[in-house]
Amino acid sequence: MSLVGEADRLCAMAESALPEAFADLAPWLDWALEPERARTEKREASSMDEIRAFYDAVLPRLDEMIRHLEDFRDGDMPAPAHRLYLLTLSLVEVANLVELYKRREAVEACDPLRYVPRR
Amino acid sequence: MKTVMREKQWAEKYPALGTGPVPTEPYFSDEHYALERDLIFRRTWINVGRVDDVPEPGDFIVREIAICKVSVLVMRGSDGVVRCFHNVCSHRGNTLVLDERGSCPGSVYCHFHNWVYSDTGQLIRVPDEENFFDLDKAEHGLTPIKSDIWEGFVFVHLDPEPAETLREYLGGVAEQLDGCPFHEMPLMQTYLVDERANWKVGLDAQNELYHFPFQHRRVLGDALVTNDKKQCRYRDLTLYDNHSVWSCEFKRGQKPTALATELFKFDGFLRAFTIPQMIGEFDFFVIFPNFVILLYQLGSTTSYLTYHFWPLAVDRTTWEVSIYFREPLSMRERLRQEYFKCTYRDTLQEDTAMHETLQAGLASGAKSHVILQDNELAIRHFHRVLQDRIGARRNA
Repeated sequence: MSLVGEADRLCAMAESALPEAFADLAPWLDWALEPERARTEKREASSMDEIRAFYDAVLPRLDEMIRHLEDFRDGDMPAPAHRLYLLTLSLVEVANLVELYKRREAVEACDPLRYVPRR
Repeated sequence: MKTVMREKQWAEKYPALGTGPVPTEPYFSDEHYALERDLIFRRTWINVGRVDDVPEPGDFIVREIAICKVSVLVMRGSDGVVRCFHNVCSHRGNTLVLDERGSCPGSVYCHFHNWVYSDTGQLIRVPDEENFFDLDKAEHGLTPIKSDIWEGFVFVHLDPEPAETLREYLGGVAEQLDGCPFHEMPLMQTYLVDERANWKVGLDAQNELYHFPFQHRRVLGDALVTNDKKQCRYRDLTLYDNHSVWSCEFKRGQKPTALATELFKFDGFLRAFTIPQMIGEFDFFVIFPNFVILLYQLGSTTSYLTYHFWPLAVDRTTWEVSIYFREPLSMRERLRQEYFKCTYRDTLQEDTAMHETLQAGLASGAKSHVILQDNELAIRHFHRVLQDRIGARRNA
């Protein structure tokens, strides 16, 4: 193993993917996406069961997550906290499907991917 | 609650508008579209953005007024002044700036032969200038477009000598909203959606309350004050010379969703932000022809949206939706804003689907007229302004 590769491995071990108190949310890290478009695409590519499982896992932790994130201001969030923040945004992204529409497609709506965020 | 539920009250306030049906032909006629191009979009103040879109000297945005084939370069000069130009090089007429936004402090240049313009629009450098014939650079700056600014909103007028100033044109809307702190509510997100519908189909569909309890029943159906038959009513309606505003109120005591319950917990951060210029709790200003400012107050926080309906063809439109919020004080407020944004977006996706089924029905020609009720009076007013302005200019 090269020295560079070894250094990368040690760095990755030192920096866990999520803040320690939220390590149990690691199975949901594939929802830690940005920008918004990536979260919408993930939502569109997921089944209702997958969306509901994510919602059910994250919503009960939301208050705790917000309290943790209040300690950081925009721009100085370490990578694990930033991933946690992206999970909260993905929760918001999918919540209406679970809470209001109660089904996979937003009924009688156009394809969500037609709404293109500028830039 | 200040909303009066009495039927047919607004037609009484504006009897000159009448109550009859409105022709459908302007939604699908190529001839009418050409009239709108020549007599409305070429001869009316059009909003192309905000000064905050170009905060620093050298910052620019490009906005297309596609119906007129005009590309507008909005640029802040090194002198701090925001100017609008035709986005066209003086040399051979090439499109100058190809990016939708950017920054080129000091100068912009054409990709064809590297002609260089200052950020105030002067032609400052021509490669191989000695090989031209009597070329006076001072005479070949960028072509300005008449522009003016009101409360940070940048408007252009494609007629170099407009018949009315922006202030005169805005009239009562400006009087109502002068001093409104739009600059304290920065842009969070703009969505662009291409719709297979006439630009007025989308605008008219948005410009009423009647559809809320039906079309948006899943998301917003129960959000607004209704009468005992679950029908919405304007809280206020004001029809100006060219523009209009209607207002309504939000229902109190709604049961929040599980997510909303978390997001609206008191977090120790609270700063009421209300706007004295508002009329109700949801004020829908239509600034003729294609611009909407929608101010809303939920609890102690006020925000706004803008809509632009950009005609691309008689049956194609880019709907531009911009969502503005004040800077959040806390993470919880930031997520509340995200929640509003996503909920708006999801709701408007229902609207886009509706705009397209509307266009299909209208374009079939099956119906020569549409029928409007009292809560759709702002639509009637819009069509009156449209026909009056077209008529007056045709006869001029």
